[in-house]
Amino acid sequence: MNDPLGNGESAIVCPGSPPAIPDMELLRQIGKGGFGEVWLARNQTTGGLRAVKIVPLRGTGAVDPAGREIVSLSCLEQTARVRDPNLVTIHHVGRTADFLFYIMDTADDVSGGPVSPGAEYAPATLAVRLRCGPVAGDDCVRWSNQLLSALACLHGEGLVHRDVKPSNCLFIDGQLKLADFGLLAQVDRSVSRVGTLEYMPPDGIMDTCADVYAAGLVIYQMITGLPAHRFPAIQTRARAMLADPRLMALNRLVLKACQSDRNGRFADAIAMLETFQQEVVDRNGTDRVEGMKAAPGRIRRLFSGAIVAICLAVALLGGWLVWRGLNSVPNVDVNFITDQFDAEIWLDGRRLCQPDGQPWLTPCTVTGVSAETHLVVLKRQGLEDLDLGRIDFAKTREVVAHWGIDNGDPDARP
Amino acid sequence: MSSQTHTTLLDRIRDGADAVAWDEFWTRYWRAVFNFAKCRGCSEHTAEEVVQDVMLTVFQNRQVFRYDSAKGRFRDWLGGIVSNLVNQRRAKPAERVRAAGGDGQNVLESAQDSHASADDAWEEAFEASLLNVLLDLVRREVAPETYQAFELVALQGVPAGEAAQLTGLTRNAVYLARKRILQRLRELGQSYRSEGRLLDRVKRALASAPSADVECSLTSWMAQSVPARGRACP
Repeated sequence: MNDPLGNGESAIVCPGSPPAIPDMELLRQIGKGGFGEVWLARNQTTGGLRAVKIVPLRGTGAVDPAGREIVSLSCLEQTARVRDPNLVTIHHVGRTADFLFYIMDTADDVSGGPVSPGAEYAPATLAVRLRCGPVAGDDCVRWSNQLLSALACLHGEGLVHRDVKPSNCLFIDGQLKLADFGLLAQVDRSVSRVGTLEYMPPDGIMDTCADVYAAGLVIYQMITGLPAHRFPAIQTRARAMLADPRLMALNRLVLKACQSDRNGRFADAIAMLETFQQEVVDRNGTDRVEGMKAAPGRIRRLFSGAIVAICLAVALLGGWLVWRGLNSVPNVDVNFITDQFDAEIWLDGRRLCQPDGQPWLTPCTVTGVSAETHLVVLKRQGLEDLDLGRIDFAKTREVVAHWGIDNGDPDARP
Repeated sequence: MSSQTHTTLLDRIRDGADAVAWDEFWTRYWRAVFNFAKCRGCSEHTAEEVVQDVMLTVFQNRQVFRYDSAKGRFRDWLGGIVSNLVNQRRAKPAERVRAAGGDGQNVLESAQDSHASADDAWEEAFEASLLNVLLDLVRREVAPETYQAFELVALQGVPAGEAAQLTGLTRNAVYLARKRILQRLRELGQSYRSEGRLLDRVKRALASAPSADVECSLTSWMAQSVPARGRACP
């Protein structure tokens, strides 16, 4: 549902009285987007309340929104297996002489109360919720799971949504559901650059990777409460995120999903959901996501394989550690920090170099230093060598050294 | 980015319909106007109105201003407009009450006292605005985890180990992110000749940045207002 509170531009569908839709009495407009309007409607036979989206059959200029919507709905219809509980259900699609229309479930009321025909009803969407600031950790996890499940279902069927954003995430019976399939397309087709600019990836290629990018931004908004265009800033939310391991894991998920380079992102929402379950849900022990449903078959198989691989890796690592413990001095990682950056590190008269031959330069974490006593000297061009004497790396993991120069360089002190 | 407004941008905004130029102009200066108005005692609401007044005044005078370095800087010309409009707003009784929560005079006087002059306040707001723009530029240039690591360690004072956990980087990479972004900021802002350490100035600039709500509200106003007027111009 685009712009449910009506803040955006819209094609005028029905300037006067509501259009006539078979079997439905249109009560009032509750949302509008670029190409259509959403109305709260009452079924004239049963009295039940529904949301009805109306799109004019004759578009303006070269734009044919109804034609595109019909193609999208046909895609959804043809993949009959697309029945995810986190996708908004479309009950009926039809047309009149002037309009294409389809009938959907109504979103909860923003107040948390039931849907009512009164003027006070406003549909509860994630966009509305985000106006109140960041979302609590439990809800972040639950809603992220529901969003990714819905998207994974579409991607699993070879479809791409192309308009993932908070205003298209509705709350129905308290569950987050993905709505507005007007831009839905088959992923293997050459898809045009359509969608909402703020949620489009920089490359502009609107495939599954683009849905992943948009979903990442939506989750970013949930955990930070900031608008999408501020990504990846965290601002004052840093402390709260550091206090909750689930938010930290969600942040890492978002960073991967929203890489500018599409090759750095998850290939699709299925891969993103897998990582979400491993990093955010399973790692958290008792923290099970309420209402989490069984993963699709492919995910489950991959997930089982991953568990076997992890067990094998842990066993191998354990064996290796035992062997190391019995046979040699262990290696440790040591931080070297200096008040003038870019100093070389010399241990026992030998310069420390990385595997590619480049010298380690401060500030850095040198891996694989044998945990015994070494003679440490730091060398930096233009300064006298700094002899730190003998340091036992069995006890010391961080070496901080100062030349004692203050040249006003803001980089000087880490 | 130069601290001097680039002449070509001033040339471009003379075309009222050049939405890209106006967007760039807006991005660079709206924060400066907002912050200046606030530090001169205006309420947030009035500061928003001052921003709108200033943009419309610049729009109306876009044909009048001709950049001539001998006559003065664009910054000073803009500062003059802002200062006048803020003074007009402050002279309104309703604003005096609103700004002070009932005791307007004291707040306005203290706001004036806090700066040696309006010129100093404008210079500070102007630089903070440009630093925020630089930070936005850098944010778009680097990988998201790099920017986040920089923000956490350099601006929020989070220990490198915790920043590494939050971003998935190594501690080493966190330190390097901090160093790299500071270097880049220094490169971009090399024409600045301002007192104080760059990092401190960036922190101050960020702390003074208007809230996301104000940004959304004003950016939305700008998108619907000035370019629309430009399109309507013959």
